[in-house]
Amino acid sequence: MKENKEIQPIDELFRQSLEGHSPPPPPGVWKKIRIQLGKGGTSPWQFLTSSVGIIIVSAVILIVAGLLVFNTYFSATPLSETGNVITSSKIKTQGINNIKNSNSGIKTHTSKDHAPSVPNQLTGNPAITPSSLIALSKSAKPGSDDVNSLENPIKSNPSANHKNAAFREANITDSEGLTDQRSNKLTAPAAGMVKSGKVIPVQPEKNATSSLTDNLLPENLKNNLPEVLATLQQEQEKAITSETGSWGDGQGSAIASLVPVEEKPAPETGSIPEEGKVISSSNPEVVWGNNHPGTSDNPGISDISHPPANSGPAINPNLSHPNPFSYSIGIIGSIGQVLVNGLNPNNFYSVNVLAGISHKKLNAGIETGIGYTQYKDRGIFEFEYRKTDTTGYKGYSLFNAYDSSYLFVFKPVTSNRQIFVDTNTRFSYTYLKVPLYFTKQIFQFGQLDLGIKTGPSCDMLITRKEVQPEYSLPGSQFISLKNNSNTMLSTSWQWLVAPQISWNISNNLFFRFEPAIVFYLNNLYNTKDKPLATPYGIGIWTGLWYRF
Amino acid sequence: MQEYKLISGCISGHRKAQSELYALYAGKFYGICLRYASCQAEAEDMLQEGFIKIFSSLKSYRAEGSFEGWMKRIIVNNALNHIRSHFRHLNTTSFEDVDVENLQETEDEVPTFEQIPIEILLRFVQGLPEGYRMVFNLYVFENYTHKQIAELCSISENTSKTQLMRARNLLQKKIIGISQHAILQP
Repeated sequence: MKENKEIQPIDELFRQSLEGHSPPPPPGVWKKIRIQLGKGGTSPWQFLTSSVGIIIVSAVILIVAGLLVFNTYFSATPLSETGNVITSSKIKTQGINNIKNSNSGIKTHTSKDHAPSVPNQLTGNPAITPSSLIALSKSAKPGSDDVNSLENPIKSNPSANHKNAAFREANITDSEGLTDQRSNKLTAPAAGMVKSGKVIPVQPEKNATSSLTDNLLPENLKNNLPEVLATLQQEQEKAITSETGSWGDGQGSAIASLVPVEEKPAPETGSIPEEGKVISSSNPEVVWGNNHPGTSDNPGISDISHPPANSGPAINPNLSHPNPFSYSIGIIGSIGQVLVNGLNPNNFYSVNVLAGISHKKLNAGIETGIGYTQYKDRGIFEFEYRKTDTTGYKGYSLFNAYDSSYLFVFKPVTSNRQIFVDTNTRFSYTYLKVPLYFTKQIFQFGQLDLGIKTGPSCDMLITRKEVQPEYSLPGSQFISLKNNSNTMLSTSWQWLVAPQISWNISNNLFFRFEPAIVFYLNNLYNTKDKPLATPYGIGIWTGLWYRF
Repeated sequence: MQEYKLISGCISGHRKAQSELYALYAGKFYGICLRYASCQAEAEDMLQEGFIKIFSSLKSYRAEGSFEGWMKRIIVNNALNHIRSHFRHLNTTSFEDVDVENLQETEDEVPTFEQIPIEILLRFVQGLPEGYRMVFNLYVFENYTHKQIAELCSISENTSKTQLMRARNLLQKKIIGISQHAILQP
């Protein structure tokens, strides 16, 4: 049963006056609550302002950027640059007769298991593999030393190892004979064949090439050689176009197994072949297999031979596969304003040193570096003065029933207080800027490039200087000073968008001009003191760049 | 921000939502705390503790009744607990058992409040002894009955009535004192 409440006039009067009373909360309470909630309270963006957040985000950005660059570089780089395969251009230029298996050439395997099968569709013969070639050789010269060498060169010559088993270029041609390149090599002065430390004289005759073919290749292979070579060429083309990078493991073995190699003497023999000594055309005592690219101290024949006159232009790997990236470095200055609707603009300026990497084909790149940004932020101070010619105050002096010393004086009769807001005092905030901008060139007019630049940057507060304002009102008494300034964040995440105008002064030097808009992703000001409207920045970024 | 979004944001621990909730209700609740506290500093402590309890109890909010009412109950209960703990600390007795039958209302006329500012009225309430203040607040502002107050404060109904009566008498005297001693400074 509900109790009947006895409401007296004094109750009613207090209730009417105080029930809806909503004074402004004291300023420090929320801060205390926030601190107390700190352990459990999470904001989706708050971690970005912490040191750990900055490190994590920066690391993620760097890793992603690095992976992008890495992937772009390696996907854009021909496989030949990695030393795995020869390029299609080489093959087209030099043909199958000039397959190079030198420093940038094919990595071969001695393992038979890795050798691919190359079916000979034209002749219907069994697939040609290094092992099948070996088998053919066996059948051609059973029991000979060469067969042993062919099967297992290392076994047949234990002293042959990675270094001393020289890898030599072979010029495989049709059954008619060797190419001019072969001929050139064969006619090189003091040419000779080294076999187990023994220099074998070279027959300089041109028709020696056919004798080499005759001696080296078994009968049944010789008959099918054109078809075999055609098949091999097809396989090479396939491998190159697939760009799998495993070319050298498979098809390369097939070719390489056809390549006779010169065996260098074992170190213990003390016999080192002279430079220019090449495979003897007349001597069949050559070792097959275990081909190995020449090393700096043990170059292949291709390194010591003159390029053939009719084998097309000499191929410089550096020229045929230029670096797809260009690198640049620049010093950039900026000046601009932070704009907030309803407030006076605040100035900022910065100096940055940036390094850029751009992809030549894509006309896109990234820029990063370090910068120093200073914001000249307006303070907002509220001065309260009382005019001395006041008419006085109305107040109550109250004596508490229990404490007679209890005295109140309040509420002036007329408001003679004057409040002045000062926004001329400037605060100086200095930030360290770490940007990561993405650039894209859109089009080019002569020396003028137009592009776009966008990306984030992280500004970390270094110093903050606050100047105390001075203001005096003549004939008045100072009462109080309130600081209503918007305080800036210790870490500000920003996003810049700018059209990019570049003027190429020379091949390497260019001037860049960028009118930009900056968006402050987590606001520029502390949540507690931030202005009502969202700030944004406009400015000019300009500087000189040097392209390497 | 809509109320349910605000609540869910606070439950998720989002600082922005918590800040908004505080900004919305801090003034109102501070006014309540000022009535229960003896001074501003104590009111600030009550407000702080009250909001911490609100944020930590939000998960148990069942959306039965108004959200503001739910928060207000937390603030009031917290204020009462705060006063009780303060009593223990001071080791004083705030509730005086007085024979209600013998208690007489003051016969002085209640002056009008129109000219007395809220700050002064608040001071009057704050100047009441803790026991009187609690009962007066609960009875007048929270609309509790003496029975409810007795249960809430672990006192008898008679004690509650006594406290209320005394509070009224004191307040009335203070108001009369104001009207008698009001000085108009030229």
